[in-house]
Amino acid sequence: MTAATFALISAAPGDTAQVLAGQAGADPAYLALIRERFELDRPLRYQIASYLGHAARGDLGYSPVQGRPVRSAIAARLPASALLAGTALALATVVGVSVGTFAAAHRGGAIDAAASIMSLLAYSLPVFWLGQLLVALFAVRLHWLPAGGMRAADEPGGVADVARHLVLPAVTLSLLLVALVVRVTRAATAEALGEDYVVAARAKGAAEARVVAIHALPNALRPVVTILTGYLGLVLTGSVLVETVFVWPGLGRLLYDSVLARDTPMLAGLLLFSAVVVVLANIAADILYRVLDPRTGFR
Amino acid sequence: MKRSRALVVLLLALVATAGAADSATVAKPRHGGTLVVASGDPGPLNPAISSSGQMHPVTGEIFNGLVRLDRHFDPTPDLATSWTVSKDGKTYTFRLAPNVKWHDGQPFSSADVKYTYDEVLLKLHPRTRTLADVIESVRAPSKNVVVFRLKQRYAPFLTWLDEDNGAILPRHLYQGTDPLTNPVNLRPVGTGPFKFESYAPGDRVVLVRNPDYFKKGYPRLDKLIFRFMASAQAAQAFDAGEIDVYMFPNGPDAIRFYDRKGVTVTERGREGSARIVPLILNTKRKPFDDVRVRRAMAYALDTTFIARTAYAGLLKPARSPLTRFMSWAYTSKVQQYTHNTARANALLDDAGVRRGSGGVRFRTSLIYDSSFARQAELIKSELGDVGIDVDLKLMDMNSWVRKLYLEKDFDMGYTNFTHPPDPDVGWKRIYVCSNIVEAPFTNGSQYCNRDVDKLFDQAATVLDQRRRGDIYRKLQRKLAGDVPVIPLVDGIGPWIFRSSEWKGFGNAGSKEQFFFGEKVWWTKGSERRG
Repeated sequence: MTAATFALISAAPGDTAQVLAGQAGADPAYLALIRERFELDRPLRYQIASYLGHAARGDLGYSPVQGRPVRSAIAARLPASALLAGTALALATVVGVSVGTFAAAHRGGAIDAAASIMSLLAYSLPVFWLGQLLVALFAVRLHWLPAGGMRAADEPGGVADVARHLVLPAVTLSLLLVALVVRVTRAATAEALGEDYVVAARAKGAAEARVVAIHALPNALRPVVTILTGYLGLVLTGSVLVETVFVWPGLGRLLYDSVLARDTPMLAGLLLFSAVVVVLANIAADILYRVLDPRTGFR
Repeated sequence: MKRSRALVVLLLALVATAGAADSATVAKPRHGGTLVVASGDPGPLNPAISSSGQMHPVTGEIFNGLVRLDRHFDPTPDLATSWTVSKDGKTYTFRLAPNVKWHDGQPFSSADVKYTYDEVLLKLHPRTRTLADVIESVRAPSKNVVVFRLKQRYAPFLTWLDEDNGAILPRHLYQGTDPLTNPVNLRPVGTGPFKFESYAPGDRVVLVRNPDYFKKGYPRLDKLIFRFMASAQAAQAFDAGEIDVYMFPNGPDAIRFYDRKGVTVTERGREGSARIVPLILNTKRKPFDDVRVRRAMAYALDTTFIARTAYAGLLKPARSPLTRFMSWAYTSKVQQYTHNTARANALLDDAGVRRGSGGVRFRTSLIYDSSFARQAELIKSELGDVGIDVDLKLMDMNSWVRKLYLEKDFDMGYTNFTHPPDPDVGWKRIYVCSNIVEAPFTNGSQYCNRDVDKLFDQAATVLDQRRRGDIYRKLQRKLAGDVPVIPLVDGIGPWIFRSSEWKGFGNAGSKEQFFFGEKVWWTKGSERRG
C-alpha cells in the first residue's frame, strides 16, 4: 500500500520542491537543493525502502510542507476529525435506528413512506451544496450558528463554543449515513419481524413494542454495525468535502492539501493511519457482533 | 452692537472648536481590539526561506526587513533607520534602529542581519538566493551598522530588502541548526509589531501585541487572528460577521461586497501584487516561432472582452507587456493589438498558415487550471474565429507548472506574473535567454533575443531612475512588437475589509497587506492604552 502511494504520487506531475519554490520563480539550483535535502531525488525504490524502514520503528517521516513530523501533523488534526466523525456516527445511529425500527414496525404507514422518501433524498443530496445552503441559512441569514471553523475568534475553546460549531458539519456528515442506516434497519427489522421466534414471542403474549425492541431489533442491528464500522475509516479521513465547506480543521482537509502539495510523506502517513483505523474498526465490529448475537462466538 | 458681535465671534469660535474636537475624536486612533483575517494555511513560519504568498501576510506582522516599500516601490525605513550609498554605487551602509529586541527579550543587532543574509537568505530563499551573484560581502562593523558590498552596481538592490525578500531572523535561535526544519519555524520569534502566540494547524494563527515594539505607539491592536479558509467559505464567514479582513477573494466573491455598507473593496495597499496575465506561447514550436502568427493571435484575442467577462472588470485589458502600476518605467506607447479578426486572418494567410478542411488553420492546445477556466473558454472561442482550433487541457496547477516550465512540453499556457517591486525582479525573468531554465515561473516561451538581454542588463546597472525608465520603455516597445507572450490583463485584484470598524489600512506601502497590523485600529477601542 505504501509502495502504491509513493508510485501514484511520483506519477503525478510536479513535486514538493516545485511547490515549496512557490509562485515567485526559483532557479534550478534551488529545486536541486530542496530535492536533495528531503531525498526527493532518490530513486523511488530507495524512497519506499527508506520510508518502510523508518515506519517500522514508528517514524513516519517529516513533512516539509507542514514543517513538522508527519506523526505530529496527524496528531494535531486527529481530535477535530474524531469529534466530528464520532458525533456524526452517533447521530446517524440514534436517529437512523429509531426511525428505521419505527418504519419497520409500521410498514406501509405514512411515517414509513416519509422515512423512505427522506432517506432517498438525503442519500442523493450533494454534500457540498447542502453544506453551503445550511451555512447561508443558519449562519449568514439567521445568525444562529457560526459559518465555519471549530472555535470562535474571541474567547474560543469552551464546550458550548465547540458544540455550536459542531452542529452544522455533524448534521451534514451524518445525513448520508442516516439515510443508509434507516434503510438497512428497516429492511432487517422487517425481515426479523417475520421470523419464527418473533411469532413465538407474540404467541406468548408479549407487547408489540417489546417484541420489536427486545426480540427483533438486536438481530437486525448486525448489518447496521457492519455499515457504521465500515464507514469509520472513511469518515475519519474521508470527510474532505464537509471539512472544506465548514472550515473544519481535520484530517480530510490535510489529506486534500497534501495531494495538492504533492506531500508524499504526509500522504503515505495518512493512508497508513486510515488503514490502521479500518483494521481497528473491523475488530470492533467483530466484538459488537458477539455482544449482539452470542451464537457468533461459538461457531 | 459691539457686544453682540463679540458674542457672535465667541459662538463661532465655540462651534469651530467643538467641530474640531469632534473630528479629532473620530480621526484619533484608538487602542485595543482583535482583528480577524481570512487567509490560507501558511505552513511553517520562516519568511527567510520562503516566498509563499500565504505565509508572508502572517510573517509580515511578526518580522521586519531592513526597509519597507511604499506605494511606488521606493524604500522607507524599517529595521534600518537610514542608509548611504557610496559614489561608485557598490557599497550600501545601513544604520539600524537602536534598542530593538527580539520577542524573547534578546537584543537585536547587526550580527542577526549578517547571519540571516550569509546563512539563510542568500542560500535558501527561493528568490533572494539569486542575489548571491550580486552581493560580494555583508559586514557588521558595529552593533548598529551593516555594510553590503556589491560586485557591480545594481539599481534595484534596495527593493530586495523588505520582509518579503529580506526578513531578518534571530541568529541566537537559528545558528548551527538547519533553517529548513528548525522547530522554531512553528513558533517564530521576530522583531515585529506582533508576537506569535499559537498555531492550530488547519485552523488559525494567533498573534498578540508586542508591547516593546521599537516603533513607539504601535501597534494599536491587541490581537491578530488569521483563520484559514478557501475563498467561498471566507465570503460566507465575512457575510456572517465572523471575519474583518478577507485578503484573497476571487472575482465573484469580491463583487458581491461592492455596494455593501461599511465594507470597503479596494486594491490600495496591494500594489506589490500588480500583475500581468499573459498567454504564453511555446516559441520553439511551429507555428508560434513565426512572429506574424503571434501578432495575428494578439489581434484575434479581445482582451477588453476577456477583462470584462472573465475578470468582471477587476483587472484591465493589458496595454503593455509591463504592468501600469510600475509607473516610473511604464509606457502604453507600444504596438497595440486592438481586436481585429480581419487583420488576424490576413496575417495568418501571409504567414502561410492557411485554412484546411472545416476552415481550420492548425490545431493547438492550452494547459491551465480551474482558476483560468472562463479565460480558457474565451481564448478557445476567439482563436477559433480565425481558424485556430484549441484543445483545452484542464489540470491542476502543479501539473501545468511542470509541463510548461520544467518539461517545456506545451503549446500554450498562462501564468499570473507579478512584476513588483522592480522590473528587474518580476518582469525580466519572463523574457531573457539566461532564464530559459528548468524551474517554475521562468522564461517558458523560450524567446531569446540578445538585444533584449543586453538592454535588461544595462537597465540593472543604471542608478538614475529616469534613465532606467527610458530603457524599460524601449524594452516594452520591443517586446510588444515581438509578442513572445500575449499580455491579456493588467491589475491587482481587490481585497476586502470591514471599514465601519477598522481604520488605518492602506496608508503606506505596496505590501500593506503584509503590514497592516502595525497601523490599523478599531473604532470601538479605548482612547488610551490601558
